[in-house]
Amino acid sequence: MLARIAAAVFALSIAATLAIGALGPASWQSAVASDGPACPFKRITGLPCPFCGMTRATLAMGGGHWHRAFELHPFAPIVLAGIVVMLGLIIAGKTSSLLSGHRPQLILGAILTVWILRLILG
Amino acid sequence: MYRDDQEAAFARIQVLQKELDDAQGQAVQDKQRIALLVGQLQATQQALARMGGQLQYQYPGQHDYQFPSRSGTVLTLGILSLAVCTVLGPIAWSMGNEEIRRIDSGLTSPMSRGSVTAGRVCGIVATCFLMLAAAMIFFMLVTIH
Repeated sequence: MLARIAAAVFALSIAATLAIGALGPASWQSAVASDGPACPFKRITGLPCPFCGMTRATLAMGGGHWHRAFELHPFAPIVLAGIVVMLGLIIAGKTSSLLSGHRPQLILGAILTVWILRLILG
Repeated sequence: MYRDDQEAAFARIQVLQKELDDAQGQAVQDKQRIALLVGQLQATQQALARMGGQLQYQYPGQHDYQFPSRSGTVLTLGILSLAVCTVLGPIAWSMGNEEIRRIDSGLTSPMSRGSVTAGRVCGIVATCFLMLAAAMIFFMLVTIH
């Protein structure tokens, strides 16, 4: 139950970020962009993780700045859609569908593929 | 042929174990016979081990489970959620919950419970960090004029 609540809060945060990108004042947008969740992996290694830049890319997508979003993360819409779908399944209590068949391997494979392509594309 | 050898060795172990139990259960124990049976049992067990022991026998408590274990995925997601990105925290947490529910229901092997718990705890910690970050941003936005 707590995991579902956390997923719901996370989904609301994503919706709020999109809304701030679309309608929020510039001060709010800069606050979210500069003070978003810090990435420990990037801080330690200097390399971006598969999700680095997604907060700013979500803001840009909310504002309709697709070019900027693709600059920040080459797969921003795909990653965002994937996260939203997974959060939706968790909130709906259908986590078992995430574990069925080869989906766990597919999820991990997708994360790894995005990461490798991200590092290659820069 | 190789599989038949393993099955024969396993059947022999079961027969010897039963004979040993019978011999040890008698009021007047034949120590020489018990020693002989123990020696034969150990020799057969060693022979089975040399064959590779790859055959999956149905030992007591061992079952065919309905779902394969997803402990590796849960643990990987949990570690990634802490080491790489907290975004994966809620996913690792809920997948861990589902996997533990399956273990408790006897649908998945309980052998991997430790890995699942570790991945789930990592997911919970990462989710806490994520919620903390979200709360900080929220309060920052509230205080901005």
